[in-house]
Amino acid sequence: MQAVAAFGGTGLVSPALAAIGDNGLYVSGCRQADGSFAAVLFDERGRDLAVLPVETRLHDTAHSGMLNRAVIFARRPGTLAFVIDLVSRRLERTIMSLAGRHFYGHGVFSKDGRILYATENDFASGAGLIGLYDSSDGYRRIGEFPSGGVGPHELLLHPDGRSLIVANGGIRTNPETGREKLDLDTMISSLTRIDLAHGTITESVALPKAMKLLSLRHLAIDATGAVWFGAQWEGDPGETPPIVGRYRPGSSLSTLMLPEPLARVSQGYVGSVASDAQGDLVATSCPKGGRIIVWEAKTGKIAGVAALEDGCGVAPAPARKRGFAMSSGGGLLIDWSLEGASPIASEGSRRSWDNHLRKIIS
Amino acid sequence: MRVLCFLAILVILCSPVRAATPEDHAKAVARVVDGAIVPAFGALEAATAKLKPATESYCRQPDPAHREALRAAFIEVLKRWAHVDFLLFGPLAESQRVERFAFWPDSSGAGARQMRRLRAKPDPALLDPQRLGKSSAAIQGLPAFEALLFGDEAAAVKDYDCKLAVAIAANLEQLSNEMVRGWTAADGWRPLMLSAGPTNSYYATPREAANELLKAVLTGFVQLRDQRLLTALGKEGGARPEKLPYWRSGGTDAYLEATLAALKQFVALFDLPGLSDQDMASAKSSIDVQFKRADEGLALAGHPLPQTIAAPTGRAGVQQVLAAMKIVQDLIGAQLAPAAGLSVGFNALDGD
Repeated sequence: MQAVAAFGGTGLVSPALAAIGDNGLYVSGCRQADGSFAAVLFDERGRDLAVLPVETRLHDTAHSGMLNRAVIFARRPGTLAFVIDLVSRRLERTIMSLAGRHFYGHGVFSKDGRILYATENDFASGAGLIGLYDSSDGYRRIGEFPSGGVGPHELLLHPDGRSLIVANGGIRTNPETGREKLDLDTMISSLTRIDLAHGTITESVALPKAMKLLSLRHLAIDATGAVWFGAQWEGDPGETPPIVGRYRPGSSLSTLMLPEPLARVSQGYVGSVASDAQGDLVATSCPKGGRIIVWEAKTGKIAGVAALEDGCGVAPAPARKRGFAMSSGGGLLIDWSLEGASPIASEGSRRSWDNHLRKIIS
Repeated sequence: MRVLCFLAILVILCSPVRAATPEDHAKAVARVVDGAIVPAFGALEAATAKLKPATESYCRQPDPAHREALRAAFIEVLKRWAHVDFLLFGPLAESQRVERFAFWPDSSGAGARQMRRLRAKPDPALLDPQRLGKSSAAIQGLPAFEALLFGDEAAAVKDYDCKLAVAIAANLEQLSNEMVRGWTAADGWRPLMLSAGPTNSYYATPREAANELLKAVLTGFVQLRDQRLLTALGKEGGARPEKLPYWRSGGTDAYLEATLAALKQFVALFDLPGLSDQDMASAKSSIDVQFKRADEGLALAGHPLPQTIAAPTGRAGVQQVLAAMKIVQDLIGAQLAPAAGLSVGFNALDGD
């Protein structure tokens, strides 16, 4: 029941924000036509509300309705995160990672907005960490938890508000570049659940041995409380292991097979995962294959496939419709539902939208 | 009448150049696959076939003449390898062949560590090329071969080292063989790329196949700049020649020259300016000039590069190569590819 409640209404949104419109406010990082990077706030019709230039390529956004703030993270191995005031639509502050640490591009707020949790890497040891930042004190770093694995990527606040779910990608990267992979032979990817009150890991589930080269990276929760994950395959590109699966806290992981030719076309790579407004559809984007696969949450069956070249960002559709807003590296924004897809007019078709699209108000 | 003629000419001159069609993309793919890729794998196979006999001769009679012959055979493999080692899709990407053929760069020193252990405690099982091919990637390819026969301890090449080098040579030949078949077989990558279309399970359009090649050539520029030159160049006064590829065998210069030649050939056959919807004559001539500048940069740096890179002229020469290749890389990525209707993707290249 708690999980279902997570798909509730807009009670936490302030009147100032609600005035933007009832149909949604989106945030995404992008590369602009001139090659520079920016965070963009836009409405359900793709109209820019703010274009906020930053010095680095961006990744994903954390949002707090209580604070009316969004925090957009630099792409890994970034050292910056940018706090956006959603009322004034301005960049309010830049958060820097500690020396010897970098962000992985994802973060999430506590329910009351007080603490921002960010996945981080300790360069020297390669240990995965969750950094804690106090929003009431200038986003001062007030502590950290072990993430329970190497290379933590996306993390979610469990609908109970008292625990985090973290995808540990399992890949150690070269400290010199932060991207080149080391030690694939020893990689172990896992999902962990962390109790926020004590910072302790209460659950950790790994993949079966045959799938140890699968790196779990992106997450979303559906209306039934199942955590969906999207993975990338680090093994032989000639193989087509499952790259999407589900995990129900308290039980083990299960994976979902893709039919051919979808399995081969997807090239073993999921870039983003999201559930729609009601949480009964889940989208997993496969930008390498130019396909976004939409699943029926309850049955785990494929409900539809959108062909969108370099399509990666997925978020709930405008208004509270079933379906998704989808963005692409080619600058397209699509309003997709089971009935069909239509382009959302965008002022920035010469933009390349980054991996993750977030809907702030539904 | 004259006015009409004039108008007609004006219309022809002013009408926009048409955008690339699927046929244009398909032709470009065929030019590169048949003009560069397939022949390059064939040449690699031929070069690796000569490495094993040269190794055996040297091991039988380790005199300076045989050592030079072995070095020449090894450098020939390096040159052929430079023509394919950026094609990180299809046969080279499958079965970890790229890592097995050349585990480089090896920033954590895995190869040296494993090789030291192996020489201290030889494992006869690894002398079987089949077994070697299933062992760690770091001990079955070019850097391992080089360390065995041209490394610091080369003066004391032992019987086991020789036999292991022969097994590595056989493994390299086997890998090349598999890649040639992987490209040319009836269900291989060549027919796959040349039959792009709705019934193709991998490339739904010729454009997708062309995008694959675009991604490959841009990877080639990134590898050359970031992995092979920038790390070794270091900061002013902090050059690290040991970060250059294949310095132990003296193959660095030949390998880098071959890399430039391979990229130049690939870019020329791809002919992105010819696929463009606008007049790209100036971009085309700029590419020619920059490849020339890169060749001149290597010459300016002086040979052998591992000995000259720390000197001011060596540094200046490498910087010239880097600058020239950056210009070509950016021209292709930012200008020529979009004008040819191609895209490497913003998120599709990514490991996030």
